[in-house]
Amino acid sequence: MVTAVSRRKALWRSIKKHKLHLLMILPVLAQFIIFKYLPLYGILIAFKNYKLLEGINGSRWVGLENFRSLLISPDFGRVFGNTIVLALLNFVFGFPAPIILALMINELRGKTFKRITQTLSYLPHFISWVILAGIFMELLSPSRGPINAIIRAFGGETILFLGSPDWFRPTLVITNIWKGVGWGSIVYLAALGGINEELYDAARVDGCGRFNRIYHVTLPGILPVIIIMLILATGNLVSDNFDQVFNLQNDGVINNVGDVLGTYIYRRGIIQIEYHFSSATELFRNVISLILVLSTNKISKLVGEYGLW
Amino acid sequence: MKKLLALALALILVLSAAVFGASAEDEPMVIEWLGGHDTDAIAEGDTVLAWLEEKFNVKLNVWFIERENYAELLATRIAGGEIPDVFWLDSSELFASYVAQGLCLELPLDTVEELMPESYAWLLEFDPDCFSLVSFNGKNYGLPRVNLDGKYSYAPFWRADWLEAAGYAEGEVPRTLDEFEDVFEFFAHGDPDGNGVDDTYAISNTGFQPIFGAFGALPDRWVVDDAGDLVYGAVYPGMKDALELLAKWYKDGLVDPEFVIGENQGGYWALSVPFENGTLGFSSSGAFYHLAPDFDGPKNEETGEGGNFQAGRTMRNFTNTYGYDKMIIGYNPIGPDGKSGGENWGLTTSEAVCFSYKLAEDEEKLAKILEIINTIGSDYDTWVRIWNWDLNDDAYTYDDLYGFMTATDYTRADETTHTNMFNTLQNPYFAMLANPSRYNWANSMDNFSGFGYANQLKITTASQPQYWSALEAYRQGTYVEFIRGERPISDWDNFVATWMSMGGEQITEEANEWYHSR
Repeated sequence: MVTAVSRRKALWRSIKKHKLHLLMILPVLAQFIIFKYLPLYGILIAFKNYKLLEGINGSRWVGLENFRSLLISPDFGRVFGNTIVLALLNFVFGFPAPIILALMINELRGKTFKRITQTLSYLPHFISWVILAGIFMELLSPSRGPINAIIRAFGGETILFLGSPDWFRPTLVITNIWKGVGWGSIVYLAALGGINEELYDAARVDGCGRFNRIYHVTLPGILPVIIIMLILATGNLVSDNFDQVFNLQNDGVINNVGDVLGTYIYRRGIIQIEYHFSSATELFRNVISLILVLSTNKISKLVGEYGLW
Repeated sequence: MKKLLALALALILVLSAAVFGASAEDEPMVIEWLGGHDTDAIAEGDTVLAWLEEKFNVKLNVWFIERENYAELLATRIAGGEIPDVFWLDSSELFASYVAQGLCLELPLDTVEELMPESYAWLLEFDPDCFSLVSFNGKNYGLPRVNLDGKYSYAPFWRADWLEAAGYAEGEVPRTLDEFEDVFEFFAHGDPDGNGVDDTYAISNTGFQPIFGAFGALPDRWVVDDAGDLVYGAVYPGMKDALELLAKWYKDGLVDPEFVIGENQGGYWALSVPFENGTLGFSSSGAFYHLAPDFDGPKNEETGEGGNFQAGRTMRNFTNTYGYDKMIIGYNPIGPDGKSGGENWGLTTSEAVCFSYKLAEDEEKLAKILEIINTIGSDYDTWVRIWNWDLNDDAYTYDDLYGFMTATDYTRADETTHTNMFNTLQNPYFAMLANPSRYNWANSMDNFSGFGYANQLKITTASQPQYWSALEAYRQGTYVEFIRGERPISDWDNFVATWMSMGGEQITEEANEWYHSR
């Protein structure tokens, strides 16, 4: 009894002490509640036959019918497979890219040069895929594009980057890295800034060269951040970059490598107004994401490294 | 005191109710209008809109929805709880989805005949089949959009100077498939532009259509086969031979490998980028009016100005760079069995104009909307007025050969108002009157009067919404694989069987059920 009272007192004291901080976080909390948590009830339509007229509550319950319809669809294997292959490629090549860039920027000497490089590197992040798709279609065009002109100048064969099944995925992965690498490196650069300078001095005294210093001091220093980013990245292994794929898709790849879950549900769910179907697919995907994140977190903790929680 | 206050409040309430109630009777009826589509939103203070509102004593809230992502944006707004009283749907797929969602009011043909008799009469006169495109499971759900341009078929066009380099006399064009092949060979490998570099191709994606047509179908529309049944062009037997020929041409380097991305790479839909850039010698991108040349109309006698009636888009863009003598309109090739034809839009488009389900409760409003549509669609004076032309206005004159012109400089009357928003039925007889030069020219060219493949399936079948987008993606992707040789042509039967099993068979059955019941 006494402890409860004193605990409540302590809580009040704490609230009083931080009242300004709490006030400042209020809009953020409100934003999360209004825009993230309240709309969650819309997930209901994944289990309904949603009719625009009848609304979310009025529409008829259909149980797991929408999920069944997704899984038995003749396209499901192809689009889900494409999504996972593309996500794996993006993960394998795209995950280390910002770390490498951050290490490279960290080794730059001139402060101004360093800043400019960093700023330029994350500019593409702000350009939408609608615009970038137009730019890449020109750059990669077999007849007009400079890339193919260079390849031909060196005696190579013209490559149909976007229209051929062999090149479509590599093109997606590379352009995706180009767009996101600078933005992704920011978090690592922040972590790099937190490493104690004395460690580098000590390493230097011990006779470490530049690469050894990166290996023995820098990398261990940002390892916690890398692990956290890794855990979060596994959640993306079943997601696809709809904006990118949709804008670069064409007849040459639509039947094989170029059709992913996102573009498939766009055709079916949005164009044909089967919102319940889109919702079911997204829910299905998010459940897998959550399982992936939870298990990676667990494994990471088991092997003694850091976890998200 | 309290009683007095209550009394005063009650008095105010009663009075205000009387005032507002009375004014509500004079208030014009508010109509949420999406009875057509235009490239831009209607501007504040648009004179045509104001004129219409006054004429019909209504308040038109005109919706504007970007053409790109039209389906997505319209559905989003409707999901948000708003629905226009009258709305334009840009494809039969969308029409079927909306009907299935219960958003479209059932509009019995009797109602159409009763409330808009003039328009009903000319619609049926123009195309007796037109209402089948807005019917679903035997019920009528809206108004069709007919199309004068459907009287003309697509014709391909050539680089005239390349043809001459290939040995063709001026004004002569290839006519048979064999002649096409010889010319294509020269276009791709004979350096037709004489620049000493191997940088030209003969044919790309829009040019495939006339080739398919020479084998009896187009892959993206329904045709009637020899047995008299409807069959989707993509699985029509003749397409196997067409694909074999295209695959051979692809292997021989005649086909622009960029055909998978398409000749049109953004911008106005009917433009062919490689043709304009001078790397392609043959194309069938766009309808007859895109190929129309400049018309030299009457000039202002005092100033000598004007008289220029602008050419169609394709012709204009191309000739601006290369000049008129560098392009020639050709004919669709004649195939081994004498078949030939290009695209044809059909007399009725796959667009539909539907009405909100809510109007079931508001017959007065439905009648008003139909009255507006009918008047614009069948009263010539009103129709002319929505183009902002006014015969009582000195700003415009009418010429039998050139139609409406501005009186001062004799250029074609401005067509940049938002007329398409209100030109719901697109009366073809009026269009012909207003724009005679275009149609006189088209009638004078025998290139466009030949056979064209119009879609013979004029309804959306019951299971089409469910399977169609997947079938189309499969069709497009597989055709590319055949042409590029990634899939051998011996796999044709397999392709047809797969297409049928993906829902194609069911749709074909439903299509024939409709076709044979007419």
